[in-house]
Amino acid sequence: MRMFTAATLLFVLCGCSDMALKGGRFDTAEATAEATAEGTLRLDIDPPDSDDGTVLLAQSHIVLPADYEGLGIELFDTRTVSGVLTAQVTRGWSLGGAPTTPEPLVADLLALAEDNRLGTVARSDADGAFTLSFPAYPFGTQLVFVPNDAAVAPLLVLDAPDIDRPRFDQEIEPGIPVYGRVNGLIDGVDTALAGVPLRISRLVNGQVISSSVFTTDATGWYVARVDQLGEYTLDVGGSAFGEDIEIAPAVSVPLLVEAPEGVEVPVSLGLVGHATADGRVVDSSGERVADARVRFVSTLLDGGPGSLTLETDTNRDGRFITDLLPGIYDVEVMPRYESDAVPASPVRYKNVRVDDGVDLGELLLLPATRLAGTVLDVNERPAANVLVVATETGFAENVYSGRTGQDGTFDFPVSDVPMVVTLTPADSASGAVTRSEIEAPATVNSFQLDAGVPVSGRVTHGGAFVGTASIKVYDAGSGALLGQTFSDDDGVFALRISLPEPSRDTDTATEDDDSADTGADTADTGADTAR
Amino acid sequence: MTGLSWPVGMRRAPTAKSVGFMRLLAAWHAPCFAVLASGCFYIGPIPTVEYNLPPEIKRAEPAADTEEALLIGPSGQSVFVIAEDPEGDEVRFTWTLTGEGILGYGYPVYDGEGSEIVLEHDPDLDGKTLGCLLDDGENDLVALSWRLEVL
Repeated sequence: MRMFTAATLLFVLCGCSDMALKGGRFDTAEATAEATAEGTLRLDIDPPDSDDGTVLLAQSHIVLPADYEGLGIELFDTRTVSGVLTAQVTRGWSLGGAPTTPEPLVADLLALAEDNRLGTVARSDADGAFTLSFPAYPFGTQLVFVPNDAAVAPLLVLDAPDIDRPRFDQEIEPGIPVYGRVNGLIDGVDTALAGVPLRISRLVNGQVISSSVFTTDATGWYVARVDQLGEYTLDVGGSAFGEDIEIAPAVSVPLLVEAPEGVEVPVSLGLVGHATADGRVVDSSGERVADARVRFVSTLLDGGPGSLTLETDTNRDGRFITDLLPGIYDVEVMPRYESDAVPASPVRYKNVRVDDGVDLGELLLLPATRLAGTVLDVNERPAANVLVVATETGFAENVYSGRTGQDGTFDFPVSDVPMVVTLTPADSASGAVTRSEIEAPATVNSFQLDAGVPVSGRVTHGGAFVGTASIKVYDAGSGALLGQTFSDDDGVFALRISLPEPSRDTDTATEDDDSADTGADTADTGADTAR
Repeated sequence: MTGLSWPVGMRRAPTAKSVGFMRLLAAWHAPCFAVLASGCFYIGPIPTVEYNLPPEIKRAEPAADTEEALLIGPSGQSVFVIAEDPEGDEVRFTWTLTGEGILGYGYPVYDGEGSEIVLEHDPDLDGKTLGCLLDDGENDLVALSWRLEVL
């Protein structure tokens, strides 16, 4: 209901046509403001294709505060554009002089929607031919073309409403060059670096969109192209590079393109080179652990800016050896999944000094533990058949799960690290999908489901019910996942969610207001409308 | 098949046609085996050959085992599988990645009848194959795979 009111108000304020309402910037700006308002939800819905073969794409719908129940969600149709992508190829950092004959362009294509709504991706072939399908959101979709060679053609952004036909050929102009030289210190000598990887990126529809990776040439120079003036970020290094396999720190350089002639952006990476570190991974019984992952995350690098994160694996003898930059690191050691059993717990060693040739000795994995206890419902009675999912905080973000029995108890093996525990009750009457952060699994003995607020509705397309659609409910502002479920054969879904803390006061009042209007959780297709 | 090699004993899910053929084969072989084993006449119950059917895929999203690669865009990619076992056995989902081995058992969805994994936008995934093994605990595995390309 609120959506209708807002749209009507917008129409009156603009005094504009329906066409302008759908495509105008004012409309999209208004939508963004609504989507980030406290208590606003984003429902990501992934439907199966319809029975008549119609392809339906995963898509997002924004739900305004107080509109959580009886949602009538009509899925957007799929829009498809296809054509041939070409570019006026210009090499080097000149503006190109006389136009050249357009050449087919291989590029990644992205359909991006506002408010972090789900989009789609595609890729053009060697002839530049492409087909891209995306949800036909009524506004705010942009098409992004990311050439596979940033030195040849720029990343191009187009508003989807400007593309009003299914056949769509696009020629990309040379754009504006961004160029410079990348230097670093090798053995104390300032040196031009060949083969260093770079990306240039900018914000499109609230998302960071990056070019393909390009590298410096034999003399240390790079060139990339951008399609318009504005702010960009140049990401340099962060990996091994060059014939001598040197390591470069990751450095981000903000830059402003102010003139059509382009801009020179020299980059100094400071110290590059490598420091070899080795060690062994053992479990709590002293046995060497094969195939364990060792991740180095820099906290302070010697002699320069930037950061570095690199991973390596242990061999059959539990040994590892890797090239790094000298500095101080947090070292994370993680076992691999091997069987149903949890083999061991990952460990983080903080502030480890790494110099060339350092032997880090034995890095010890800790024993696994168990997550056990009882889940209580909103009335503090044992809750049966609750799905208990524990996800590691950091490390490999491994997932462990179990289910409560009739007495509400659960017990399953987990690694002994901080976890996010998500409790999903079998029915929404027991309580809401509830998330808890725990520091040590072994110390936990009970959880209680939050009362939360109900979210319910029906998913349809062309008036037909859409069953088996995956529905994920996010807090639109923070992007936090609040709960997920599937629609039944009648397209109906219902769950309860716990809103983020800052929203609770507001939403308690909202829920009270709503209770008089809507009553039960049952979907009412004719009621409120999600977008 | 793209990239993944399955250990001995694993096989793809039979089609409805091949399941029907297996049942016919079982019905044909059971009495023959009984007669041959007894020498001439067989007195007693004919042994029943029990066949366990593998899990049936209800939905795999995006579609698995296609010629097209699964493209992973800047915001990553969710992959989920929902399955049902004809005998009602619990289905275990194991996600694998070429060169990485077992990734994990995924996030349970669809009241535990499905599993989901979210792939981040990681250039290291490019060219690898994501696999999902469905195991009903009866030595009957179903394998799905997706060839990955990172944009």
